[in-house]
Parts: sequence; structure tokens; C-alpha cells
Amino acid sequence: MKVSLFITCLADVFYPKVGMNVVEVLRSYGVEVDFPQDQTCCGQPAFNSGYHKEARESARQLIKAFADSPMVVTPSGSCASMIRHYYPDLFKDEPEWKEKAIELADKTYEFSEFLVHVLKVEDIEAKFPAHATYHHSCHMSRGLGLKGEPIKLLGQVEDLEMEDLPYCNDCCGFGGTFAAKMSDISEKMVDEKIKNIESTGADVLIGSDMGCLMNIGGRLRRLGKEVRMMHVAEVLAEGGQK
Amino acid sequence: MSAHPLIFNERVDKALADPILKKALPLTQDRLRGGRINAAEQLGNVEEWRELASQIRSHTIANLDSYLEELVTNVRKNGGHVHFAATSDDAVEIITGIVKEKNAKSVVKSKSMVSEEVHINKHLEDMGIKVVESDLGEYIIQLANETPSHLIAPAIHKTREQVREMFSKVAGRQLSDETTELTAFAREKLRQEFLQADIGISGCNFAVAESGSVVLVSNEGNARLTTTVPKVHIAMMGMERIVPTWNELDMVVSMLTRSATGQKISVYVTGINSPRQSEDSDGPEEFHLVILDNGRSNILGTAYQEALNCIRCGACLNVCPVYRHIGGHAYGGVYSGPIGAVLTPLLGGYEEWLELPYASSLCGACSEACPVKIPLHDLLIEHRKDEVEMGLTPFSEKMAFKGFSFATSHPSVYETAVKLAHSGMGFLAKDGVISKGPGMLGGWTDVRDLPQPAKQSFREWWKKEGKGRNQ
Amino acid sequence: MDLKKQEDFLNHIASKLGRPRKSGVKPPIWESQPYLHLYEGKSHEEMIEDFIANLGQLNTKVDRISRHQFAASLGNVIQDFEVRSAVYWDDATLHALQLSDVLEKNQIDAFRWDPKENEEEMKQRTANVDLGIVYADLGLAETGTVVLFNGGGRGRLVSLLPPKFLCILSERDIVPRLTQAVQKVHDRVSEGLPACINFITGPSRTGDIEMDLAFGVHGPGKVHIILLRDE
Repeated sequence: MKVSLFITCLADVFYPKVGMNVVEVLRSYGVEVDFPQDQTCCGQPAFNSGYHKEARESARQLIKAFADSPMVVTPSGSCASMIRHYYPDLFKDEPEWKEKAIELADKTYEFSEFLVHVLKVEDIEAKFPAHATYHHSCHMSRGLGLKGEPIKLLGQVEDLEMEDLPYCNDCCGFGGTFAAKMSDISEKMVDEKIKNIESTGADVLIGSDMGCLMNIGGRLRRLGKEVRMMHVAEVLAEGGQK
Repeated sequence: MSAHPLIFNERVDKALADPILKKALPLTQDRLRGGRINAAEQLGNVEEWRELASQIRSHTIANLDSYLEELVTNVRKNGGHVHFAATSDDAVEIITGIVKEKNAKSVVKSKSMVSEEVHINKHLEDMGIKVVESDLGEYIIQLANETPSHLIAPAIHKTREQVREMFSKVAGRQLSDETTELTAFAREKLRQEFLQADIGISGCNFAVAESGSVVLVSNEGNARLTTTVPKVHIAMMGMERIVPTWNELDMVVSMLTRSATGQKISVYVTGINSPRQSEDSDGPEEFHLVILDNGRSNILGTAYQEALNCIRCGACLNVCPVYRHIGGHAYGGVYSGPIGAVLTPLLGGYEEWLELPYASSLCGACSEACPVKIPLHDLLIEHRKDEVEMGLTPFSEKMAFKGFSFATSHPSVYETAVKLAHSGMGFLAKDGVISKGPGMLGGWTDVRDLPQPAKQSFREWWKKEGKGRNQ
Repeated sequence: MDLKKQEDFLNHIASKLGRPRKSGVKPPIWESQPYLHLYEGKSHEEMIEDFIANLGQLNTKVDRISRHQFAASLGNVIQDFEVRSAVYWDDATLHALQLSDVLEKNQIDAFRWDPKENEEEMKQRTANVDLGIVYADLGLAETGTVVLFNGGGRGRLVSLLPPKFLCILSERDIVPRLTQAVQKVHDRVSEGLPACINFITGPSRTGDIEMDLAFGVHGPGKVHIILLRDE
């Protein structure tokens, strides 16, 4: 089985370890991973801010970069959602590109989704002793309808104690440029999210979207609090080194 | 929509600093969210209900001219009067005209957001007419000289102590802050108003085209009193608040009550089908239906048309994390929360309401909660797209995204940017963390730390090590 | 009647919708019936039980009785609700139950809603009595709702002004839910509807003060139902 990795701009620049872990985990299941160098960004920042013409340029590049990939896996619920949910409509006035967009959308998977639904992983061989809770990002749970998949994977990790996060359906306040543009409101939202995380007593916050984790982690740090942020792939990779 | 004394950022700051809101908003949201979720679980197949409700509303809006024509024909056939108000001024002219003609001195009102849109209370009071709001929440804010802060529960921003003070002033004696005593006072006081009022003004939850009916959904009973006791009844109706027949009423009422508070049905659903008939000795002698456009027609035939499907349940307000922290007044208009952010710029223009579509993290909770499946968060993106295309966004932002577009469509440029990210932002970083950034970054760093870009990006790692190791 | 304003208004809508004016549109047959599973397979007895249970959750007692028990049942209501005065509908079933006799025997100062009487006086009297008594045409099992077709001797104010409300209805008139009730209204449109149809579910309530529930704000705060068995 061959997949291409879509690393996402955030992971590429800020969290390359997540990408390394994704590659490691996929390879451990016998998947051949490649990385089309021409990939850049899915264009979501521009799209969400209303710059759709600009977003289309990013999208075109991404479609081109993965044109020959049989499958695309990405460690980001929001980027996968952008491609699956919004790419086809972005090209609604360009039938040729719309078709290509649909092609890409049909073969793009979020990381946990890929493990559960394509690789059909039933038994993770990983051990990661920690007291943790999971953050469902809005784009992944609502945009893609993926909620149980990461929970299922984490549930199989030995010694990993998972707590339910109260008010898990409430946004963490990232929203891309929203966090910077409406920082006052975003601050209140992330503080409430942190209050809920703290109420679980967890030492680790696991998620599938580095944007959210960057937001929550950045605020935790500013407040001088100690909770470790981890992507699902990091937990599986670190835990796999038994 | 009128000019607000404070600008958007000021309104938000004021709201975020308000200790009463800080308690009241989560309390209200949690209560009402829980209601809706329980109701949905009881239904078991809520997605089917949403789909049907959405179809009914979309069909109705797509044929609005036909159904309105049918409605007014039937209202007239049943002895009622119909008035078309293209603008807010028209509505005011019509209603003040009726009031003058009837030589009315006092008006009692039940809840109507449309009446807030045209500020009818102020216009009537300027004429020297006594206007009394009878919905308890609306009565409270009328005494406070404020506007509603929530679609369903207008006075959530008021504490019981505040209510006690206002009621005590009116009562001329000190009341306790027990809910039962306060409510009993309101019942007694407002009962007098009902019995004396010359004219009752109501809203219209749903008009039924096939019978010329106005249906009101309420819990207190004030809507019934308003539309039964006074000799003249004026119903103010947003032109989109209509269903074809009584059969469709089932779905929209069922979804409205479940989505608003979690009730399977409200205490009172009242069908007003005509003025009093020859054998009756109660009910109004005269009925006037005022149908208001006020910018709604500008939404027809646009990407925003689905926004007219709204049944005003408030479910989107109850799940919105932004509303949770800023409340209704910060939005500045009559409608708040996600539907307010979508509708207000459409009815009032971008000039005055530029920021509203950006007061959202696009989490999508609103679209998920909407009983008629309005894609609210996508419509907010649509607004942002329109603002960009109309040149209303800041120049620096435009340039930033032009740069973004260039870099992301030219891989070599992008790669260079990624390579330089670590060192380029090095001067801002201390121990791998950036705590103060320039420009737009400042918005981020005001609230949280930013990690310094990694020394070795993923793609560099891949080139050096990662690529070689497929099994 | 300003026909031009109407035509401009409606023409404007059509033009914004990008097509010529439409008239006489009827809704399609909606294939989806998401409510069916809520009552499919339920016996009438089960529906009656639902009706009673739903009202129980709204502080409203339902007495399920045979007609010959009516006087006793009404006597209980009078005691429970501390009734000294009442107004009631001019309704055939209420007459058949000899309502006015029972009220008189209980020394209740009662009067019948009569459109021939002075309207203002009747309104004032109704506002000042303890209890309003009506007979409902339909009951909705799913919610505990009673449906009143007002008109003539069935005054609207009877179920509205007094602080307490007694509704009598027959078991056989209980239908599953709103769906059936609106169908019945729809079927009656051609013959003309009364000025007002009420769907009433329990006592008047509000949560407008700090989300704290209170009863009897404007409408009756105490409601009681007498359900007549099929005989």
C-alpha cells in the first residue's frame, strides 16, 4: 500500500516531529510513504478569511502535487476537512479543476481515520503510561464526522488512562486568524477550554489538529501551566517504542 | 438597524468585562443546550426531522410570492386587513396610522423581533401612546430601557436583584427577589394593562397561507391576552415567516419548541384565523396583518437565501462559543449569535456591520444545531468573501494574502520561506518561544506563546533521512 | 386596499428570485414522515397513558373517569383548587354532564359564557372568577395537549383569564400528536375555521428571571384535566 503524506504548513514549520511520527507509524504497518515536495499549504487560512481567489491558487498547487498519489494521509483534521469539504465547491465555476478537486477529496484521509478505516488497525502495539484527555477539533468532528476514531486508537494503548473532556464540543478558540484577529474573545474561549482540561486532572492533552494544540499549548505556557500537548501519532510512535 | 453608540470592539470589551454576563451566559446556554439535546435524543431520528423542516422552509421561500398572495387573500376573505411594508418606515407609518385612526391611547405588546427591527415602541411613545411589553422578559428590559440580549430569553443579562429593584419601583413597595413574588407582581400589573389596552400588537411565529392564519408559539399566555382582549389586533410579520398549510405547521412548530428550549411543544400554540366572528363576544373586532420586507428580499436569489429559512429558535445562540462570552448586545443589532452575524449585514449593510462575520472561529456548532439546516458558518465565510471582493478588508491583510497565495503556488518560494522560518523569527524567540510578535502576530502573542519554528522543518528532515527508509 | 403596493411587493420578490410571478403553488406531498416511529404500534390505551404521564410532568393531574363519576371528580377539583367561582363554556357535552347543576350543588358562583350578555361585564366577571371550564375537541398523547376550537358560547377568555383551568375531554378524542391535530384543522379550512384555535399544554410558565421556572405568569397557573372514558 502506498500513501503520500500531506504534512500541512503548521506541522512542517512548527511540529516536524508529528510528521516523523506519522511516517514511522504508517511504515510500521507496512505502508510505503512518500512526500511530494511540491506540496505547500491547503489554503485554509486564505479561504477562511474570505480570500477565495488566493485560496484557489494554494488549492491548485496541492491538487497538482498529489495528482499521482493513490492515497493522501494528513495529520490534520482541519486540512483534511478543507480538502474534502471545501475544495470541490471552491472550483464550482471551473469544471475541470472541480473534477480534480473531487479526485483529491476522495483519496484524502485524516491520520486516525486512515488507521481505523483503511488499515483497519485492531490492535495497537503501544504502551504509553499517562493520564490524558483528548481534544476533538471542530473541523474533524463536525466537518468530517470523525469522533470515535482517535478515541478507538488511544483506547488500545496500554497504560494510557483517558479522561472524557467536559464541554468537548466547544471550540478552543483557534479558528485560524480568529485567534489573532479577535484575540479577546479567543482568550476567553481558550481559558474555558483549559479550565475544562484541568478539571480532568490530565497531564497530557492529545489531539489531531496542531492548530488547536498550538493554541491551547501556547496559552497554557503563557499561564505557566504544565500540560503536555501531543498529536495522536506522537502517542502511537512514542508508545510503539516499547 | 440604527447606529449603535459603541463600535464593535468597544461592545465586545464591555461584554467581556461584565461579571453578570459571565455568570448568566453559560447558565442560559447550558440549560437551553441541554434541553435541545434531550429533545433530539428523545426523537431518535432528529436528522430526518431537520431534513424535512429544511425542505419545507426552502420550498416556501422559493415560492414566497405565491404563498404570501394566498395568505393575504385569505386574511381578507376572513375579514382582516393586510398591509405591505417594504421598509421599516413603511411599517411605522402603517402602524402609527392605525393607532391614530383608532384614537388609541395605549398599546399592549407581545414578543415581536420584527417590532424591534422597526423600533415601533419608540415611535409610538413619541406620539404619546403608552406602550407596555407583556412578555415577562421583554417587560423587564422595557423597564430597564434596553434591548433584548437573547432571541428566546430577552432578559438573561438581568439579575433577579435588578428585576426586584425595577419591579419594586413600579409597585411602589419593596418586593422580595423570590421568583414567585416577582412573577405574581408582573401578572397583576400586566393584567391591568391587557384589560385596558386599546390595541394589541403581536409578532407572528408562522402565518398559514391556506387559511389566512397567524400562529403564535408561547409559554406565558401574554400572546393570547394581547391578541384576544384589545379591540384591535395588529400582527407584525417578517415576510418569510409563513408555511403553506397547517400540515407544514407541525414540523416547524415541533422543531421550534424542541430547538429553543427542549420542550416538545410550548404551553400555548394559538391559531388566530380571523377577527371575531358574528357569534363571538371576545376577540378583536379588527385584525391587521403588517407584512415587512425591510431588506429580506435582498437576500432572495443570493448565496444567502437559506438564511431566510430561520424559524427564530435561538439554538445557534445556545451553542455558539463566541456568544457564550460576549452575549447578545455585543452584536449590536436586533438579532445576535450566529444568525445575527449572518442576517444583520444583509439587512443593514457591511458599512455598519463589517466585523460581525469575523466574530466567529467557524467551529460549525451553529450549523450543526440549526433545525432547518442553515449552513450558518459557511454563510459567515461567504460574508468574508464578499467583504474581500468589495475591497473592505485592510490593505495589509490583502497584501499578506497575496503573498501567501504567491508563496503557496510557487513551491520553490515556499520551500525557501520554510527554510528561513526558524532563523527569520529567531530574533523574536527566547528559549524556543515567541511571546511578543509584530503586526498580526501580535494578536496571537497578546494571549499566548508561539513556538519558534523548528530548526529543521519536516521537509528538510525528509530530504536528509526520512525518504530513504521505506521497508 | 392598496393593491399596487401588494403587486410591487410580490413582483419584487419574484424578480429577486429570478423568475416570473407564481400563483397558486401547492406544497408537494412530503415523503418523509419522521414522526411515525413515535406512535406507530401504540395502542389507544398506551396513548392515553402517555397523555396522562406527560401532563403529570407538567404539574397537571388527569382524572380518568366514567361519566357517572363526574360530580365527584369535579368536587375534588373544587376542593383542591379552592374554587368558589367559575365560568364555563356553552357546550353540549358540559350540559350533558349537568355541569351547572354540579356547580350549584357545590355552591359555586358560576356563570355560562353567553355572547348575548354584555361583553364588558362578562369579561370582568371572567377575570374575577377562580376557575374556567371548557370541553376540548382533541387531546394530543405525545405532549398532553388539549385542543380548543373556540367560538360563540366557547369563549376564548374562559381558558385564559381565570387563574385556574379545568378542561374536560373524551378518551376517544385523543390522537397521537400534533400531526393528527393539524391534519384535522387542515381538513376544516374549506368550511371555515373559528376565529381562534388554542393548543394548550399544562400551566402557563416562564423562565425569564435567571432561568428560574415560574408558573401562572399570564395564563392559568393551575390546570386540571377530566378524561371521560369511552362508554
